[in-house]
Amino acid sequence: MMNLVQVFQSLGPVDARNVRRDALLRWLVLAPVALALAVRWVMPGLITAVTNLIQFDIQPYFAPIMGFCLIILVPYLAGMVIGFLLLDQKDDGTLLALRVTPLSIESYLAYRLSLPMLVSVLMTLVAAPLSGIIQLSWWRLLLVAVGAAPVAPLFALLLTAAAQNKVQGLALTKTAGVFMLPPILAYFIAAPWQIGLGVFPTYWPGQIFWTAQAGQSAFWFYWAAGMVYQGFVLWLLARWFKSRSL
Amino acid sequence: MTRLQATVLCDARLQFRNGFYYASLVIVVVCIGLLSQIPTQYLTWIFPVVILSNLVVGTFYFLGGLVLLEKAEGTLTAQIVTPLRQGEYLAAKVLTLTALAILENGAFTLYAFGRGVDWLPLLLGVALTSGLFCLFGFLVVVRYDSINEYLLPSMAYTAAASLPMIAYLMQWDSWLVYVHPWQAPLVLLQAAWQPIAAWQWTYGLGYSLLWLALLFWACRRAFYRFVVRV
Repeated sequence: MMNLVQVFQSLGPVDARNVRRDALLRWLVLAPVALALAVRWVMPGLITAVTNLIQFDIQPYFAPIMGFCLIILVPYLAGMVIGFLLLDQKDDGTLLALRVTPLSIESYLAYRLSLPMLVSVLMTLVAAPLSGIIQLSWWRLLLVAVGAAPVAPLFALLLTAAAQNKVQGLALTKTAGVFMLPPILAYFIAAPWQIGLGVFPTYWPGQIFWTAQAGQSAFWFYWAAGMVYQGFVLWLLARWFKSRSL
Repeated sequence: MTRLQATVLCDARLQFRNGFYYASLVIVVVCIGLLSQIPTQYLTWIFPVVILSNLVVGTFYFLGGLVLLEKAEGTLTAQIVTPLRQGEYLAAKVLTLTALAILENGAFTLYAFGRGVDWLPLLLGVALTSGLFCLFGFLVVVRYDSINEYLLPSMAYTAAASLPMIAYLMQWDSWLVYVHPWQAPLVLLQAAWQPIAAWQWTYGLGYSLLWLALLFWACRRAFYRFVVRV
């Protein structure tokens, strides 16, 4: 059995080389920045256009919803890329080959999934201030980014466990947008009714972001509960992945 | 049975087996659920954009997935030595995915508007957009061998194709927008809810068909360059 430090030491350089070769991570780093800048330049015009059209000021709704999309999109994107990487390895039989090495599947998954989380936290810290619609102190932003980061491994595992090959994975990503809706819906629903939406792991990052933005003390509750719940679902998915992939 | 018919059937079977139809069904159900919450007068403005963005995955990415699958399994290479022509191969993909797109987008549009929509420009708009996205999707995906190389660059390509959508949302009206290939079917889609002038009809149909022909020609060249000659 290898510990996580050893895993990073042996697989880290291999992955770094792969990333340098196929430019994957470079894209992952560029995409959120491009999106944040697009939000910064397009948002004001969009809000004016909509307000003229429906004679109703949507500014108070538009900015939080768009901000949430931005916060969740980075881990979402990271999860998609890692999910397809895992599907690739499933197809190639690499995961099967791992079984004869000292590396356990748990350590491998932990390694595979912690890297996208780290990248998405870092990229959120860069992209959020660039967008111009997210005003948070750096440590609150860091906590929000950490709170949303589990979405990356959740999405990656869901994709890999549910799809049998990459084409099915692609079909699944079409429906995966559905998971973005419950948290947005929750924004418009009164508190006692919305807790049912909490079964969707994406509900929690939304609440974490909005309570942080409003400076409410409920932030700490949502943050702690969100981390525990997302961790639990992650554990369930990892078990499902193991039973289906090996 | 002609070659084209056989290929269409084969493609449809492949798409069904990989869950494309189920995925579309889920989208229809979710869209209907969402649409029932929004008042109709706000819908007409946002609807062309809902359809366009929904089409991106159903055509551009679905086609990309199919081609990558056929590349990985070697069936694409095998097809070179069969009598199936490149044009027929492309046409079968465009036809099956466009049919799926029409069913999917037609279903929730029918739910949201019923008779309150002009169906001729709507269906023309969906079909032409779908055709453009399918051929564009082939042109992009044929350069790549694995989904991981393809995934992130593809987002830049679809973003470029979606520029008229952003211009439409921001009500940014300039002749420059009309140069963009995807503006033409978007004009037709808008005609589903509000009448457009005769020149807009001519532009919408003519310019779409022109770009379809151009992309078709480019796809056949790309097929030769990236599949046959390697």
